[in-house]
Parts: sequence; C-alpha cells; structure tokens
Amino acid sequence: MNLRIFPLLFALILVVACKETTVQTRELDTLYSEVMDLHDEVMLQMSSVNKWRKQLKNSLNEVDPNTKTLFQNRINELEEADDAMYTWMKNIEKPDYKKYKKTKEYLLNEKKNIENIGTQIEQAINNAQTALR
Amino acid sequence: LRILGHKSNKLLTMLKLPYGNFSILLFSIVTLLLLSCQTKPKTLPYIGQTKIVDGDTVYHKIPSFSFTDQDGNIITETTFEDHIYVADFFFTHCPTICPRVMKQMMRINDKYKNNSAVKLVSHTIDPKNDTEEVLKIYADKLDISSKNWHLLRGDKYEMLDHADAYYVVAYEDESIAGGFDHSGKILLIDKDRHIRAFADGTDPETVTELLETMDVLLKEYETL
Repeated sequence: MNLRIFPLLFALILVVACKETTVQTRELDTLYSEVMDLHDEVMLQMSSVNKWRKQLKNSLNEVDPNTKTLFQNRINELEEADDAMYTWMKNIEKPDYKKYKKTKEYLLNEKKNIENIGTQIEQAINNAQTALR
Repeated sequence: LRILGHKSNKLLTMLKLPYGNFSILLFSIVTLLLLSCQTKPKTLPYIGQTKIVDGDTVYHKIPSFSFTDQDGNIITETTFEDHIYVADFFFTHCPTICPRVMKQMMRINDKYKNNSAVKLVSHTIDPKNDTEEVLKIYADKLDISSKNWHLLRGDKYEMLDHADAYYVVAYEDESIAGGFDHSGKILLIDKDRHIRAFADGTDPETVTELLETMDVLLKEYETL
C-alpha cells in the first residue's frame, strides 16, 4: 500500500470530523435557543401568577371556611408553579459541546420540562380565576 | 449701512427713521432675539399617578421599605436620603434578560461610582435561591460594592409588591405585554423617591439617554 496516502487520509478524516462538530454545535445551539424561547414565553405569565395570588390572598378573610380552603389551595398551586419556574431557571445548563449525545438528550428533556411548567402555570392561573368567579 | 450706501439712506428716509433711532431699534431686535434663544434649564417629568391633595400636586412616590443587602446591611428608604438612585429587579440565575440588564447597570456604575450623590439598587425577586451569600458571591464577581450599589433581598411577595410601586411605568406601557418580570426596566429615582425617568435595560441606546438624563437630574439639584 502506498504510504503517501496516509497523510491525505488523515487530513480528510480531520475535515469530516470538524464539519460534523460544527453541525452538532449548531444543532445544540438551535435546541438551546428553542428551550430559551419557550422559557421567555412562560416567563411572560409570571406577573399574572403574582396578580392572582394577591387577589386570592386579599379575599381570604372575606369568605366562608370552605371557600377559604379552596382559595388557600389555589394560592399553594400558584406558589408551587412559581417555584417550579425559578428552580428550573436555577438549574438549566448551557450546552456542553463536548458531549453531544448527552447534551442533546438533556436539552430535549428540558424542552419538555419547561413546556410542562408552562402548562402548570397556565393551569394554576385558570384555577385561580375560576375560584374567584 | 455704509455698504448699502445711498440705498440705505433711501430706506431710512422711507421708514422715516434717523440713524439714532434705527440703532436703538436694531439693538432691541438683537436683544430680543438673544433672549428668546436662551433655553430654560431642562427639568424632568414626574412619572406615575399624580394627585391633587388640598390644592397641592402629589406625585407618585416609592413607599418605605426595609430589605437587606449583599453584606447583610439593613437598607431602608433613609439609605437613599440625599441620593438619586437607579433601580432594577433581577435574580442571579436569570438566563436571558437579566444578564443584559446587568451589563447596562454596570455602565451606569462605571460612570457614577465616584459620585457620592448617586446609588444603584438591584432587587432580587428570587430570595429563595438568591441568599445573602449568593448575592455576595455575585457582587464580588462583578466588583459591586455595597458602598454605592445594594443588591437587596427580602420576603418574595413583599418584594413583588414593592416592585409594583416602581413598575407603574411598566403597567402604563402597553408594549410590555407580560408585565415587569420580563421588562428589564431600569428606573431613575430622585431624592424624594419620585420616578423621574426609565430605560429599557435590554436596549443600550435608551440607557445612554438615561445616563444623560441622570446628569440633568443632578443639575436640577445643583441649581436648588
């Protein structure tokens, strides 16, 4: 076998590997942006969480004991949803490009998690609105 | 008039004005023009709801408060007596908006850190995660000194209520659909706790304008 072909082969492998790394980096960046865009959307609801919590809290002393329990449960739901959002933000990590497979899996999972938190917040707001009607 | 020569004489004759009266007229016009060119010192508006109480105008005011800063100091409204200050709301692990706003707060700090009349205040809305220790580490990392820049924490819901007093501007601004949590506003407060200006902390240009506005506010006090 001609030995002169080795450097050429080596260079070719390097180019292909490099190209693949760039594609993977871009893919992880896109995925991370998608997760953050979802986060931004959910974040827009956070002041509503506080608004409804405040309304329920202010009404606690004006209602009968059963309604008071209902209101307290709704307040707890709102606070749990709020807490879930801040905990998620505290724990979210930036992409680790060296671990493509693991990072991709992680980001896909976080995408689901932030979607679920969004649903949890929406649900808590809806329940609060219904309780106050 | 010499240049105009006999034509000017003719004009003066037509106007029936001798040279003496013409000079007075010319002097008066120039003086009036100069006076009208003089601009009044610029004053800033008062932001928020204004009420008339017993014939007096009462401007929206930031209510009294008591929180602790990154060094465990108790900070109240009296800390800011004789100071103008800029305020924002943040949390240290905020992934998107806050780092951009913080960068702009750093710009403000860079300009005024040696000016004893100016302070900065950043309020965390996540005291559960932003403990005093976390705030201290964050402050040290960004070279924030509690001499002029307080990172405040307190009860979460008390803080959110306090934020409402600052964010009257956010509620008045219809472009902020999601409320203040994600608005990134930086607010300028005067020595009497009135909101006098605000900037979008994610937009460096509006912060440049705020920096100029701060100079105007400081000048307001110089002229008092």
